[in-house]
Amino acid sequence: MAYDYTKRTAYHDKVPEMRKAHKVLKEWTFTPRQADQGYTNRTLYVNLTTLEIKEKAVTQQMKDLFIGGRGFGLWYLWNAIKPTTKWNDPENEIIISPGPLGGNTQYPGSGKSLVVSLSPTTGIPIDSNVGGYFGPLMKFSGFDAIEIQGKASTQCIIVIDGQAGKVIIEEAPHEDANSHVAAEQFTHMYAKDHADLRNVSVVAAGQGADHALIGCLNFSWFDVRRQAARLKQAGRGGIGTVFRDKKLKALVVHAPPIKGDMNKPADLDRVAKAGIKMHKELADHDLKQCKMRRQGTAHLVEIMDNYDLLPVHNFQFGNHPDTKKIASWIWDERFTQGIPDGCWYGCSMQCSKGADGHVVKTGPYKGHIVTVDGPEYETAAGCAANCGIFDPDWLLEANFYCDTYGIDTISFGTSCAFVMECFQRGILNKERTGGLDLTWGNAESQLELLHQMARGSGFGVTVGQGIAKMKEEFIAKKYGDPQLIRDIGMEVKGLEYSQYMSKESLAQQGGYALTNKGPQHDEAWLIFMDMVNNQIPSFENKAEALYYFPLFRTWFGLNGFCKLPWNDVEPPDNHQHPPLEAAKVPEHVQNYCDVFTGITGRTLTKDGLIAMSETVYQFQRVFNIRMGKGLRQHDVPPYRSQGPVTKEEYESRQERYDKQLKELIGVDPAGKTVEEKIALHRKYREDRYQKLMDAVYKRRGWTPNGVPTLETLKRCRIDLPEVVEVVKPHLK
Amino acid sequence: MLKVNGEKIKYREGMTVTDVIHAMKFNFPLLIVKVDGVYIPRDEYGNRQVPDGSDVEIIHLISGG
Repeated sequence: MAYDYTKRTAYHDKVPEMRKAHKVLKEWTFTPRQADQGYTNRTLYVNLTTLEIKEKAVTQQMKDLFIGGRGFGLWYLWNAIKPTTKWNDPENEIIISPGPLGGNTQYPGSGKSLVVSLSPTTGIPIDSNVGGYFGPLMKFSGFDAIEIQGKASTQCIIVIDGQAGKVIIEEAPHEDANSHVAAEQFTHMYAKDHADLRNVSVVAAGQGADHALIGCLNFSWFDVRRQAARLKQAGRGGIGTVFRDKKLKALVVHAPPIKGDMNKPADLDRVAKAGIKMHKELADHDLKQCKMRRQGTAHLVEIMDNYDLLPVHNFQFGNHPDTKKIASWIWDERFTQGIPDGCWYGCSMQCSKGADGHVVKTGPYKGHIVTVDGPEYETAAGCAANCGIFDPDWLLEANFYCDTYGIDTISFGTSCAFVMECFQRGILNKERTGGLDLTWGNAESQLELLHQMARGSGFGVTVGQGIAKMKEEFIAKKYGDPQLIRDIGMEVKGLEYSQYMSKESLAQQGGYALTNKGPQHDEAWLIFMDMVNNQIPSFENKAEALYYFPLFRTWFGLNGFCKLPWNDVEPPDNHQHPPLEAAKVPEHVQNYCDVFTGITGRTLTKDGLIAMSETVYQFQRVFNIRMGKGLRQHDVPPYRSQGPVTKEEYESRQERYDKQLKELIGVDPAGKTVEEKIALHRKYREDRYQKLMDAVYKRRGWTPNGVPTLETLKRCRIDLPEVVEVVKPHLK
Repeated sequence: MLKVNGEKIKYREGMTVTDVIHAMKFNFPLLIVKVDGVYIPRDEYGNRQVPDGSDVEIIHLISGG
């Protein structure tokens, strides 16, 4: 499709007048500081209630135990809140940290920021990783993290000016809160000139996050070829909602120009060597493997459909004949090709694809021409397939509005699918939805839900509370069978499922429900290993995978890395390793050890990497317990994620389920009703899940109730008095 | 008869690795294929015949997520 990818609706013509309306509430000066071996050794603290701004030292203990990124976020949050704190209390914080390796320009995928807060939907700490330039630009302005506490009294922004050595809190009354506008306006407002646009990054949410609990944050990066402020999302757990609750319209960083050695690595050559190897690997193999450079993660759409793993109609089914309408080849055509799409300098994976020239069909921006960032696989699966909407134009529309309104596409997709199934089953009807027809495939109704979230009116506000709260509400109002509502509402701990079917993979059922923050695939994705390869047949095998992979992936979040270059491209000789080792991509793991050692000067081995992660992982589990979750009862998934809930589901895969009855459960299905067969499956599957929990808890060093033991805390060096105090009552 | 990832499938005379992958309806790009423990390079999938009775491993690596 030929179009001018620089053509889009502009929003920055009134920026000078808007800036004039700003009122400085507080200004604080600091001495810009370069990073040294990955750390600047200080954090920026901003309190929006008291307008206090100060720097805090990053201690050696923090670096040793919590490393950076998610680790720093959890530690700061732990110290900021009490067990009774709620997400909208002023003491709740938003912490953003890129980690010590974040911002290096040598190794692909090194621009991630980790955002931590107390989640509005789960009530426990949430961590969300996000690309875009903010984290690295903040670090190179002089801070390893920013800790935002308190609530402003008026709509305001925080500006970190790393060129001028100032942090300013300003009232900002006129700018649009919606992210695609806010990012453009604030980027142009704080850049000194055209060449300086790339040195500004904006964090924003949107009107949707004002009224929904599933709000996300957008982090911008200036795309010099498109001449556009592009967006990446910290989607999970409602941090955008916390941001707007603090009356923050935007967080802006204006950094010095970026150079290749700004982390001041201990051994730059070692880092560069690992990076060059990866750049070559991507250049040589990506097109033959995942095509991330052309399609991003959307390459997975038809693959998941083919393996019966693409969620369709609220995770009832795993494929659909219309998947071809939203498959990778569609996005290959819709995404502008030939533009480096890295969301940080030096990322040769370049998977941050953009669909240019989308003409908005609905809502306040109807008729505007916009660049849609994505869709990524999760958005395509959640907002399209899971809701039965197999139309690329409507998917782009939903993707655009979710992002600009500050709504998480994953939670929105799963929540929308849930209410559509409730509509199908009579739990909801037009009277209960305010007139909305939520039939599968009704894209216009899906968009209207989003616009209602942004306006703060109608049934969209109900959907925006997330599935856990909707379940409670629908049950309280006696809308339908409580058991059915619980079974089909796809959330654990209050977080909505991401977009993979886990019914036929017990390991992935654990990969979702035995997570710290809730069912997000970034802890463990074990479906192929378990369901297709049959590599981890025993409970102990699965438990080992559910020990290693969550810890390995945690490490990315401590250090500012993106997960994708780890295993979305494989070295050509990866086959030389035994299959279970090959899944870890040992050569890439060694690269990470080399980059860590090269930047920080601390020697890291593969085992040391896992130990490093485990400290933070166990700490987060204890943090959950401190906040009232994190025990066995909180790790139980809804039955829809484990097996067939309804007759239609069973009958759609009857051959498979009957065979399993005979071969796995030892029951002859002949003569049994579908309801009887569903009940037999349920008993079998739920029992196996309990056994999986036992095995995983043992491997992770937890009690049968899911509590880390004192020995585990000691082994992980977090037997700190305040940590031990939390677990002790549960160990009696 | 062939065994693929532990599952028995029907053998057909002259079956290549590509045929086995198609028979299993696998379309994932990151595969490691071993026939009776011997690694088969990707560019040989179309030519390499799989003997009857073989134990075939088609290991899907992880991506996405």
